[in-house]
Amino acid sequence: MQQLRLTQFGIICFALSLIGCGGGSSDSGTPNAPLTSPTTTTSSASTTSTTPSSSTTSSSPSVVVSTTENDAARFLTQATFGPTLDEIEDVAQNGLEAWLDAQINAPMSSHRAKTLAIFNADQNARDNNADSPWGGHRYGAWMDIAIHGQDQLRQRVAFALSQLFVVSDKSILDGQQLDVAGYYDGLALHAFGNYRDLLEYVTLSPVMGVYLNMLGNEKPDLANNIRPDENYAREVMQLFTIGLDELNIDGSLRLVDGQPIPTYDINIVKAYAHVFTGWHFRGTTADTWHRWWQNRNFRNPMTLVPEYHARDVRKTLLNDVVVEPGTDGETAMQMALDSLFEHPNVGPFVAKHMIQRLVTSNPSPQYIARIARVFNDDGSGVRGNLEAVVRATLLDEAARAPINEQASSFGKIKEPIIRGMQLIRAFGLYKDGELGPQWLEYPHNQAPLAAPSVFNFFLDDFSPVGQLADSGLVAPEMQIINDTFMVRNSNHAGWWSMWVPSTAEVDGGHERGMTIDYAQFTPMIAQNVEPFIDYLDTVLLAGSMSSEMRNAMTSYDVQARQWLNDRERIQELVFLVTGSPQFAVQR
Amino acid sequence: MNRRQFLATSIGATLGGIASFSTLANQLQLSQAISAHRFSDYKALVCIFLYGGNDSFNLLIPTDNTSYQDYSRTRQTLAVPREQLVTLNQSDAMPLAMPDSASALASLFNNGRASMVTNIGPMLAPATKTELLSNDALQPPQLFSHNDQQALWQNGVMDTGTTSGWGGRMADLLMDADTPLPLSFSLGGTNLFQSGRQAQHYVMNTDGVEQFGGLNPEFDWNNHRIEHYLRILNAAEDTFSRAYAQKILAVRENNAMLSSALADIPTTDVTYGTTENLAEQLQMIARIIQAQSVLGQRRQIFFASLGGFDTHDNQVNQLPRLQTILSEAMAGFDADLQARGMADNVVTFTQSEFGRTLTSNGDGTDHGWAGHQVIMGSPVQGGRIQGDVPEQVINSSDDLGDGRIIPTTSIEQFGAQVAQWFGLGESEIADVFPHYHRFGRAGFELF
Repeated sequence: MQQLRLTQFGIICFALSLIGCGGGSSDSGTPNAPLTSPTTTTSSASTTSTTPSSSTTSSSPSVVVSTTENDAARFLTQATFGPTLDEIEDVAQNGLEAWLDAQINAPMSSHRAKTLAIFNADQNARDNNADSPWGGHRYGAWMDIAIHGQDQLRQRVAFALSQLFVVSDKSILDGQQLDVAGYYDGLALHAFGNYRDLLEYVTLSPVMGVYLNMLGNEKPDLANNIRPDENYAREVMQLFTIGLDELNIDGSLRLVDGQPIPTYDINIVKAYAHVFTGWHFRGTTADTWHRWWQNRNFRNPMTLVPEYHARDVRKTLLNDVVVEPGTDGETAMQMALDSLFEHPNVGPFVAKHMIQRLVTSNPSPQYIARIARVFNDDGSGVRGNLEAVVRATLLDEAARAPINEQASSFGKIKEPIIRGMQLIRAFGLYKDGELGPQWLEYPHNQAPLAAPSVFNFFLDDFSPVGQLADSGLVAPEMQIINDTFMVRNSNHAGWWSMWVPSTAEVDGGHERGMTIDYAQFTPMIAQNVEPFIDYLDTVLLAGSMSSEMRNAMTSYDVQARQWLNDRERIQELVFLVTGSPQFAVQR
Repeated sequence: MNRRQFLATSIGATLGGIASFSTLANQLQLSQAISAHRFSDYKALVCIFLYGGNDSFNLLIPTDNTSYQDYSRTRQTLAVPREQLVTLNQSDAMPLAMPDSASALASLFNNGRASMVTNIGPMLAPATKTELLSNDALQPPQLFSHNDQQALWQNGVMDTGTTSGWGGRMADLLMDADTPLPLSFSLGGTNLFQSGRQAQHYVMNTDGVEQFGGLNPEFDWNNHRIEHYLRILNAAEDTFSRAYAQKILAVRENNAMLSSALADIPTTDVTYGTTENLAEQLQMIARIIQAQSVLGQRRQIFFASLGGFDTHDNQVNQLPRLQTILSEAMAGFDADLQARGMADNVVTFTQSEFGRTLTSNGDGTDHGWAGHQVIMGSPVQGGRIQGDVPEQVINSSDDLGDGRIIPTTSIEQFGAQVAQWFGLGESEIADVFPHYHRFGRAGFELF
């Protein structure tokens, strides 16, 4: 079946190329509909969610949904862990919005369950008397879901959120991999919900509580020079909601007399630190506060233990919200979360993060502003509707305008781990049973919820010395694609293209236990190499392969076919693309 | 006036106004030919960055009765017990000790191999507590924020927008234009410290140089593939693809150069007192230092890092562990360099984004300001306390609040002496540290 379809694809695309398949500049056959069509989604979110209404999109030029295969592939590169031929055809036929609707309603994968399944299937872990999963089991679950999950959009957004609400197993959480997986599931659960709910989920999560030290944070004891821990108070502002300086709606700094305006000072940090006292594992009481292991519970939100809450301190929060002395801890928490959520920075702050993770590293201020406005009001008066934000980010004219109408600097360096998943998804993983543990950091310098610190794998304003910095462009991902990882990324492409075991070896119990079945593609080069290069162009490069690149590939194949069999020829061609700078970049 | 002097002068002039780094970059390009043969000797700097904010007021601990009582009362459960202290032999400051978890560092100090640079931190200008509290503009931007204070320590300019570091700007002035191989190497990740306006840093893992498999030119059977792959690199069209392609080409060339230079340099036969990653980083740095004669680099700048210092929780267990790793790794590195005959040529120092509050949050500390740093190496005056050592008392004139101690030595004052040792002239130092003039020379001599 698969072979037949691939063959058909080759023939169809080859035929279409004669009439301009790969142009991507027109969308004939699709109504030029502005993105205003209503949807009737009922996501898991607790808040009403709708798509952006005309009020949010009418301020920008009308947006066209393109359904060429190339734009479908480009869209899926932004919205998933890599396009597959099936999904490209689905999106091309049914349109982006239909795909989004289906994705938003797709059943959710579970990282926790998958981590456990991979752990339970791992004989090596058992031989080593492991009593709970390792990082590699959780990374394996992530990889399995990235490759096979049907809820691709939710998972891709969750990955973006995991780089905003960072917790990391490079910490005491190393021993809590199953709970870290559960936290990731929580992010995925809220991916299309409301940001306010997500913020509360994260704040009360014991995983975050352990990571940023709110769990067990006590009211002050001034006689003993003890003050509340400021870690969560500081980072929830700097990294999760508002950032350091006041922003305009388009993400630029608000300036007074040419100077930025700090969003908070040390007194505000201290005020939130006082609010965030008295929280511990669910079930904790004043009696068991210091015997936390009795209440160790990573699966439920933290609970307030009033005796340890700084109830008698007056706390002046952002925007002059005052928590009066005597206010109970739960109420204070709600006031604090509301005050963060209502800050005008959150819209542009979140908009920029989502755009940078999904679409482009250097978005225009206008693009940020359009998405921030959707965050501020989804069209039905709801603030913080993430489903609307995700839809708007992906359907925005900036994301959808054809590449040949974009600036040369539009797009981004792919996150290495996403590039790796895209490679595998383009051809399909050949594998029986569960994956083994996957140590994703070795090839990618990146693994889910495994950053060096709460500042994520890279800073969103990182600009590599040279051409990019000189042009004032940021390329955050280049912070982790250093000299060593340039080599490892190339060798990762080499392994998955040229050096993977054969399917027979995998069937026979090869220790790496997974491969790609390249033999299935051989009919595509039986007559002529062009259909397979078309396939690579569409699935890996969204149709952006230049004629120079294509010529280099065909010319190499002319030589290679003298000494390689058809499967090996295919593997060589796959390496040339997946090891290329063109594939390292998402336009 | 020779070309270098001309360059230095014009840089100095530009910095007075709104310095355009791209203009400077053009000027620097002109200078490169002259830098290559500027020095006859070899020198290297090694920066060890302690990420997270090191509670270094728990590394230098006062021992006379009154001061220790103050310390103990202030630090509460986080105070190091007296019986766990190792005395430092010095007469620069009040009697001081280190915790025995840092005994290897105390030995380096007492043997004259290392000194402490005390109460140092980012400053905009010298200012008193009263002045700082009455005028926010005198406080460095984004004080207490991790990434911003890392940036200030590393860029040496004390603003959060500068995208070059003081190591990188030194490299801009000293780099050899004839080779693409940077003179800066990082074993501790991509960093701002080594980023120049032009100068790059080579970021590698502790395993050493890794080879491209499918693109390895050493094997003939790769030739056709490489030939066509290079055509694809050349076909990169958009901005990011082009930048990525250029980086691949640079890595290919640098890898070849560095791996051949390292081929004959043995791994260390010195036993480091820790097997933690920092020791592995420093072992690789020592090898590259020994390879300098093959590489022909008269100046090199290295970066290593150790994370985990953000001890908000469980500090009594976390901090001693980190102190031991740092101390043992530095002691091993010093012995390694001596064994390789390179100890006279290398200066190693620590940085960390901030010290921590003297107050406790129960079982840890929060983000502070000033801290103490280590400087090590034969060229350094050893066994000295360089700078002030504030009493560990809350609400003193040194305390901005909650035991966030106000620095009395600026990064520029420290860096300028390091840069001078490294061979930079006065105007070059002014280029690397544009605000140095606000402070003047420190009241101590590191070398």
